[in-house]
Amino acid sequence: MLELCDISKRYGDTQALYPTSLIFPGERTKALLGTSGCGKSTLLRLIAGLIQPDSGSIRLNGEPLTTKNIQSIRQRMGYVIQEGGLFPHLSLSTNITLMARHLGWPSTKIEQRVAVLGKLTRLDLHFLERFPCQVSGGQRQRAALMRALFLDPDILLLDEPLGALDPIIRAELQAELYEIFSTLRKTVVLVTHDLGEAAFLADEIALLDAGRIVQQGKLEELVEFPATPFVTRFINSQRHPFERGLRKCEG
Amino acid sequence: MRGIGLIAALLLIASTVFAAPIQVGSKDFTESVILGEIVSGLARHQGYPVIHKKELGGSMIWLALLSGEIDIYPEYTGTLQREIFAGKSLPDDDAIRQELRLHGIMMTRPLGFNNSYAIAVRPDIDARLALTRISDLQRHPALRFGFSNAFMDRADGWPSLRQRYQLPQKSVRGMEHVLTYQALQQGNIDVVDAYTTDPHIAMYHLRILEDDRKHFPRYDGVLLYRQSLIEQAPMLVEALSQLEGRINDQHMLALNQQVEIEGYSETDVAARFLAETLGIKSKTQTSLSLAERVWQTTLEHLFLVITSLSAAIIVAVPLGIIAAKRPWAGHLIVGVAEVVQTIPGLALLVLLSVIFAPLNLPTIGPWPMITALFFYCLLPIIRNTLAGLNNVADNLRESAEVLGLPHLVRLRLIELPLASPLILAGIKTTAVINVGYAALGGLIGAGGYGQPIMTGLRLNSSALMLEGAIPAALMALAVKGLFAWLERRLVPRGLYLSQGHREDTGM
Repeated sequence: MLELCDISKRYGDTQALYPTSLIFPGERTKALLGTSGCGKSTLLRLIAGLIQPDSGSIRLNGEPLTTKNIQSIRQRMGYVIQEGGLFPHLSLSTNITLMARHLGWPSTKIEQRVAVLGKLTRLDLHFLERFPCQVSGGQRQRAALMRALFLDPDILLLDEPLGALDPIIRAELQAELYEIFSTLRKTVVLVTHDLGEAAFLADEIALLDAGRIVQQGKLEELVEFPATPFVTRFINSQRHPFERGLRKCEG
Repeated sequence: MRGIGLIAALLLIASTVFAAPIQVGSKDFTESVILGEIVSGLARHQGYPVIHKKELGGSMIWLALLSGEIDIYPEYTGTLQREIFAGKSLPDDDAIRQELRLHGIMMTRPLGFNNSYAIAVRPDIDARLALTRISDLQRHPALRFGFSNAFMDRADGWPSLRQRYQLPQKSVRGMEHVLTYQALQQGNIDVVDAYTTDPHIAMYHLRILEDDRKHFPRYDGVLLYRQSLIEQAPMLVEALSQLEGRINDQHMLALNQQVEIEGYSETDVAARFLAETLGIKSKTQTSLSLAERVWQTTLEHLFLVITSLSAAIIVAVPLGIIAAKRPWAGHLIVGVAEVVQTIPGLALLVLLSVIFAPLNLPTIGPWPMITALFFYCLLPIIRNTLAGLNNVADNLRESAEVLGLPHLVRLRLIELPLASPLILAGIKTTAVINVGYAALGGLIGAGGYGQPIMTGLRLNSSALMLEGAIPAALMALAVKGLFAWLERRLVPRGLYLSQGHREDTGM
């Protein structure tokens, strides 16, 4: 379980995040949804310890995050960003096993783990000796996910993980991610601006706007009992283009 | 106790078996080199091993004698009076000799010639204006003067000459001495400084003007040597007296002429002098063929370049890393390196010799040159290391951080490999520039391609200059090629490919 208690962040004159409290229950996926600049990425970067909050505290399974223990806590975090963040000078397998080798895992254990995760993410193992620039975007994200999962972390942080993929691959990977989340049952924080993706992958959605959480709940709660007009506007902005297009064809 | 005795005995044996060679120095003009060769020949004849460090820059040679890097070199009494001991007003040779002794330096009696400065005029000007004395120049303010750089700077040179004779001329240019004669021939200048033993005076039919106000002192050729040489090479010191009074003005002029006009090597001219004057059959040093000479200068040049570059890489890459990690330190590091970079090459060499001399560090030879090159290499490597590390994309830096890798591991496994193309590019540029800069080594006897270039300049010989310049250009190209190859080997393959390069299995 991940608990955020009254954390806030300010960049110069911009309040990127107003004091916010949020709970990510164990074994559940929660999506941070919103337009760009709403504070969802700031929230994720705070959790990852890449930036320090101006106020408030973060706890992972009861243990508060500090600058001292962040290094060890990160070994319990998996992190995937748009385009994967794979190191271009290292092969996929080196990328994936980097941390395990740094920690001195025996090679048999590493091989076993690669095999397990390869099956889970459906990454063909013969891609592993290639460099990131030599495989497709989808394969890169599979490898990035393998890297994030390698140490079997307690919590998985995903920042627009499918943002750079074309729609068909994206839909395929969404289905795979859903399966993986259900299999592993980890605490997942998913940052996305895609309502459908959030609704499909997450157990619960937290919708942000201008540095504040506007509403939390399942998609149907947001649709039926929107907390503010913004919630409705946000939902409609993603629902209407498709429906409009459909109506035009039928009419 | 026995141990100490044994070591002392071994040292004694070693010192006799491996007798330190006598270090002969000479300045960067023909006459000095010939005299240096004569002394070398004499010493070899006495059975001493000799090293002749030729063509050392004017002010450095005196420092080198004081520090013991050379044991003996030819000097002029006038230079001692007016330059080296400028503030002391020493009236005569005895006074000079006394002053020298305070520094542990001995001086022979004059060798017999007076190579004074003289003011010379182009023959057609002389025919038109009928000049005979330097004071006659006062009446012709439009005359154009072209003086050697040394003469422009020296205390006994142009500044004091102008004052003594109240000369009104405005057009006064400083240039390399050999070029003054060319400029004279082309009619670009009318009046030059010359040495009285300079064979070009006769060759160009120049008119020497009488020093009617006795501005120039006597420049009697003498040999200066360290007191320690008396113990180190007593037979040589004794033999030096055979040279005293043996070379008069005409003789020295003839020797200079044989080298500068007739094209004999200084070694040959010196050997002939020793045979004819002192009846000494010098042990002929086999002169090297062109290929052998180029091979040797190439090795020397490579030594300068490789040593300085390696040291600079070892120092500059870590400095670049510190600069990237700590911006305030970065400003300081880059700032200091930039200041060093702006010091002109020759000035840096002189500065180093002034700093090195009191520390008992070498002021001539390869090491001060390597030090200067080292300083010049720092900035581009520091700057590119800094730029390379700053260029690492934020998302990669953060991915490495969230993985949980500690700082140093991130630097080693992620950031430095990603910065490697820029770091290598910096080293490549530095190496190519370094090959060119190292030619300055000719000025302080560091060897390398600068040596033939210097000699070529002195003798106005394009063949000799090309003997240094062409291999230097080829070496620069080879260095460039080498780094292009190293780039493929050292830049991680995935990065190389992701920059749009094709897979190249041939390498």
